[in-house]
Amino acid sequence: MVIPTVLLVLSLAYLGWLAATGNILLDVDLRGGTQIAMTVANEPNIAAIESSLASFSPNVRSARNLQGWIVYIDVPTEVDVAKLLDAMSAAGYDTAQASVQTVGPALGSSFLQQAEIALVAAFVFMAIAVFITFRIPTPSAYVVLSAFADIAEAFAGSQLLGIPLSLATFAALLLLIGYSVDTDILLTARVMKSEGDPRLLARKAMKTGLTMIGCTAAALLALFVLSGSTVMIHIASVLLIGLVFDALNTWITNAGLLIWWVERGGRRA
Amino acid sequence: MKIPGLLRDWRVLLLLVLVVSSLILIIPTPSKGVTVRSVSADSPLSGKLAVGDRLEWINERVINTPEDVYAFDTFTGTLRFIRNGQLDLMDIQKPGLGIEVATAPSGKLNFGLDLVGGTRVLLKPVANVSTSVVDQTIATLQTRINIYGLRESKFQPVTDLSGNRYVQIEMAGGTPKEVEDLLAKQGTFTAKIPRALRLVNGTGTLFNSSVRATDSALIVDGQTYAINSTFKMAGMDWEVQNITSDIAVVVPTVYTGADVKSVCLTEQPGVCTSSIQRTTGGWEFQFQITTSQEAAEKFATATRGLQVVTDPKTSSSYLESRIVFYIDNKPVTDLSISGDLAGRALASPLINGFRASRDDALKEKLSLQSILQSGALPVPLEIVRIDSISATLGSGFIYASALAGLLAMLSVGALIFIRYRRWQIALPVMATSMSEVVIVLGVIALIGYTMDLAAIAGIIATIGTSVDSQVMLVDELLAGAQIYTLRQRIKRAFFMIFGSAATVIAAMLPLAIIGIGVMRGFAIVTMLGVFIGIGITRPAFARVAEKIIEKENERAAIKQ
Repeated sequence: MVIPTVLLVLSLAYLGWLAATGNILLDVDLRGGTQIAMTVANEPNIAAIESSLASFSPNVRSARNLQGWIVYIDVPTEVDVAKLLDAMSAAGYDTAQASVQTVGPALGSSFLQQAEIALVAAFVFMAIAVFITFRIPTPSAYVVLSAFADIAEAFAGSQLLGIPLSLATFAALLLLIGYSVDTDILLTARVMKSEGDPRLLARKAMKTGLTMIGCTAAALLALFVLSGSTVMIHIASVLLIGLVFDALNTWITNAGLLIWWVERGGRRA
Repeated sequence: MKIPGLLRDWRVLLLLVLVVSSLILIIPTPSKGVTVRSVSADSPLSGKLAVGDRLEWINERVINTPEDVYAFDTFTGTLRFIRNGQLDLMDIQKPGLGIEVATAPSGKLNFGLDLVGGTRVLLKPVANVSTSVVDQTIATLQTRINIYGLRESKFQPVTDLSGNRYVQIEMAGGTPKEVEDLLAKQGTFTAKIPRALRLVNGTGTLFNSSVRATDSALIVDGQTYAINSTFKMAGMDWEVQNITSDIAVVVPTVYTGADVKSVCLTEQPGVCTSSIQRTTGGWEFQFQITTSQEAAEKFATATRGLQVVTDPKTSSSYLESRIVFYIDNKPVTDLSISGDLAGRALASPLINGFRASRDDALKEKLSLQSILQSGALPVPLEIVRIDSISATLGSGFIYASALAGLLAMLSVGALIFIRYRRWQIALPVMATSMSEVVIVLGVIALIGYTMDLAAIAGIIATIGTSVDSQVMLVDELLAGAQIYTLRQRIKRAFFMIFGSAATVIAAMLPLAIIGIGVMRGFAIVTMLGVFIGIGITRPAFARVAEKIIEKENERAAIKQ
């Protein structure tokens, strides 16, 4: 119980610090800016690209996919993309097939605002769904608490690993609300709807729950390794981080609280 | 396994029927020919071919790829072609078909921009506008795109949560530059003819009015106008541009966008001009516009009394001033005016321009023609977002996602096998998830929803929830408390399955309603997958799993 509590407190403190100092990593679609993506055959030299584009103050990343590598170049909205592409051509890259995305800063912040509303609404709706499912307040509250911890920790973890918040990672956080609650529902249903020792029931449920997490993680790993798209890699990473924390929060926090509650005479269905 | 018994179960039967019909919908069928994606306004085939038509055969050649069509780009003579199964012909006088084609879509799945390449633009009116203004804007932009011949395009008004209105345009092609030139320009058209007013001791005459100049202003009919300000005279707006000791330059506006009655889009000998020709160092384009009679009279007034100069080399004569055409206050082209036109009403001025390459000249001409024909937008637009995705990057995503999906399924199967040591469980789990994906794809194809990256992410999310549900079910059946019958255990499992499905739907609902950007598709596809899962595939899987375990229990009982 100590570890998850410390984790949650640390995550919230880290997120609070990021928000207070304005250091939350935001991707182009939420911050505004231009992102250029091009497929190259050989492993790109990031430092060389950065130096040949130095005048545009770019942020260069690369990702591997099946055909080769994808180079991502992030620059502010004011940058003249045509000039940047000329500079890339001069450096010997084929820019004919470059993809360009530009998001105005105003639109980005309006996206961010709407995404925040969506996140809060999703969480409230999920909580309502959980309360309706179990119809007993205390165990339902534990499920909601566990889901909250998952999202906060997954968000903090992804920021720590340098995965920027984008519309895609936002969607992943929302999906995590749904995913992480699965195992909590399993645990609560098994303990609440059966007779017998809650510890034994929780331990049996844990076996099922870990299989579920393992299966989901296996599917996400496939996505992580093969997709070659940063959008997909970001979604998969956020969910994977979330699943690890979910294992802790479900089988330590939620299970501990639920067993404690049942042993103190909590009424089971 | 008692297969026939299972097949009699309606849940299993429904699943099989849906999987088969989805497969029929999504599996590509080989098809002949190519689809027309655009016909530019100056194409000789304009009017004969329309976007979406299928070209199957041209002059004894069966058309299979776009290259087969482009091979005729240098062709002149009689072009015979089969369009949508019908033979048609056309005389091609100049090389260049002016059409763009693509391999005919074979499956019913409609792939999105981020998977097949293309451009998506989000335009925001600069001021707060009503829905009707947005509709009018869309109509104007559509006219421009149609004239320009920019591939198939989709227009959509979008409103965000705070009530901001946008216009979203998706095009199968088009570069950000083309979009900027064609769509983000408000397109306010003016034509002006600067006039040098000769001053003697600071005074001169403009028509019948006397004009006096100071260092920085012009006094017309007793009123003072500073440099860059405008006065009205002879029905036109005159701008004071420059004043020197012996000359004041005043600029009347002769034509405005409202004066343009029509634009010559295709050359009609003897009627109107629209052409491109080679000149030294590049290509020159020209086209005629027709203006109202009122505007033609303004031209006459503005050119009256202008001096005629003669070129000593060619001995052709011109007026001392040139006519300058502006779009959104930026000069587009300026032309010399033939000497004999002074003081005459000109209702069909020629607009021309010069570009280094034929392609650029053609694009510039088309975009000017489109803007002039469509007229100005009711409100200036600002590009707030452009996504231009290259086709290679996109198609890479399709393969990678398909492979990732397959690997995901295999690794889940392997994990299930390791956990339960039974292929009788692992295979149905994989088959169930696979059928869920197939049915989701089938529904997407059926309702004509666009399959994009977000939808792929949604499908993968579906695999995740699907496997979770099946593990809950299998575990309850295999390891559930022995006091319950199999049916009761299934019921217990479905309590959890419905509970978790409800939370996924609850979490995705806001995203589906708010609809921020592409993530709306993700939410919709995930919800679709969950509904199909709990309604169709997971109940069928429950029946199969129940039968398998029943059979196993029977066998175990016989052994004892």
